[in-house]
Amino acid sequence: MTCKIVVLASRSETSYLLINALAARFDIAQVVFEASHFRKMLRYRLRTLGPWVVAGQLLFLLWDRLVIRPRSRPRISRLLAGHDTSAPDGRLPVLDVRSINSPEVWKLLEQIRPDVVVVSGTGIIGRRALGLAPWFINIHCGITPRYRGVHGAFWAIVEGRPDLAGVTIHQVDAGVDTGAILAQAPIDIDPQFDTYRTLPVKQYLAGLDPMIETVEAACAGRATPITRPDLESRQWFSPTPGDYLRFRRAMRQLRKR
Amino acid sequence: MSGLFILSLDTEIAWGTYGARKLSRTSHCFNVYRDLFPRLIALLDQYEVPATFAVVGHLFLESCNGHDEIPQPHYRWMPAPDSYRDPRSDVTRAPWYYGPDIIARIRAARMPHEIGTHTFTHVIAADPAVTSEMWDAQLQMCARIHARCGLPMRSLVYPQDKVAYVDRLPDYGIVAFRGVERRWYRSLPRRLQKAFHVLDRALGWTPATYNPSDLRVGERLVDLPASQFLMAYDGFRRYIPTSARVRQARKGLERAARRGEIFHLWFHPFNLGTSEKMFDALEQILRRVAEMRAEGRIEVMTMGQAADWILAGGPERDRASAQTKRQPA
Repeated sequence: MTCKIVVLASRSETSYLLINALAARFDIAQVVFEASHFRKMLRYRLRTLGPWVVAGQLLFLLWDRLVIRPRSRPRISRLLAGHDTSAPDGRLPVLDVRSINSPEVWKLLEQIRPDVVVVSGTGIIGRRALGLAPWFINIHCGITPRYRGVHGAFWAIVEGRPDLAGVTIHQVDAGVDTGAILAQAPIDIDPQFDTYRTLPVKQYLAGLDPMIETVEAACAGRATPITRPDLESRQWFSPTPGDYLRFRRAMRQLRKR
Repeated sequence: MSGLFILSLDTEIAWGTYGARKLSRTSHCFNVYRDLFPRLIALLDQYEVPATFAVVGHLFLESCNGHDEIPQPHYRWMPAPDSYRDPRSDVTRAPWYYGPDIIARIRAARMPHEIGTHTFTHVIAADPAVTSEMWDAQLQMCARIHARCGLPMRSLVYPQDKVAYVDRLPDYGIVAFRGVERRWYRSLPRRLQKAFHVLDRALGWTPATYNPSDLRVGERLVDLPASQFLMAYDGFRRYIPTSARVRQARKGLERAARRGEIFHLWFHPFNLGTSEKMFDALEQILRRVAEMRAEGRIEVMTMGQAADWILAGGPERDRASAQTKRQPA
């Protein structure tokens, strides 16, 4: 049985990693990359979180740009060594669009009629697109429902729950990471090694096999949702400098253990 | 003695964009590249301005299976070796990395544009990961491609303007390269440099122009440093008005005409995709160039032509004849 797969993603090394892992196992009919929407995201956050929190997030973003990201680069290279993180351009049909929720993408999905759509790092997918394939499966960097939103492992460490640092493969619905859970995998936190930037890479690496298994199961029509009644649902956003200090403190405590 | 205007265009499509995030931010410009390019050529034809297209050698190819015979760098700041960026595909499946149609467009233009090189896969010469063997392999490959296409390879634009291995260039027939813009803030730390560069563009300070007599690098090579980058409308730069860009170019042209110096403008063709205002700014600058040329105040040359003129002692001859004219009979 052949299974038609479409990937909707944002361009990033981790998305490339996922696409290449899927391409090694399945025939990918189309990859659609959504351009980053910094301004749109900023507007959304200003509306939902207010200017003070957003100002803090921007300050942290600057710190991340100037300090965390450059320092994490060699560690990320070490994590990704031996994995294929090359862009799929030229090897797979690739389309770059401004928005996943555009007529261009709807038309494409209508034409291809995929069995499974794999989602990685895009914005919220609208109901219209969601109606165009039986399975929309997302890789989410966090254990849902406790860590919906962004930087799940970071917040798990901040909350003193490193056991809940992990990755979730779930169905996509109209909410933010509220879809039915299909698989989850924990990651090991190394307090000597890990940074805010290495955690998502580890989460993607941990999510590759569960994603492949889930897509296989979805193609065979036997993917079954699991529930986590033990976890309360909460959505998280980008950290502020204060949150980052709490994260550093939590990592120091983990080192002492 | 008139001034000299040079326009160089870094033709690389996606080769000069490193990392997935940057690629994502610029993707819409790459997608419309094939629509922008004919408009650019038409604009240059309209104002009869010959330009130097510094083309990444890989764009000459219709397809490829990678280039394992060429040693490629692995930059410390990239997660994977640079060879990973080669899609090992063809122009229909990876139009961001192949562009024989782009070369054909340049060659079919009414103006005799120069096709220079921008290395084979946009390697950053001054990066510690790039060895002299890698650099030589890049230029050898480009020289082979240019020879096959019957195009002399006479000028080079260093990727990211990171100049190195200058002594190797004449061995490949290169007579001109575009050096780094000579501004006072270039000696400052990198981030301060960037800040001053933006301020420079936003306020439209008079750009650097260069005395052609000072640009020789030995007997066979000329450094033609950049004067102004025609800033794209991306990120916060979109808030810098068109008038600031045009005003700066006009100041540079006036200064070059007044002093008999060189004003060297450059940008990437994909920058034109950031806003329609880019075409507007470029047209205003080209119109001014055409006016000044009609007044006999400025000449327009490609990088190769300018280098030939300098190497043949043109500036000195012009200066001598200007002095003779000034002396009473």
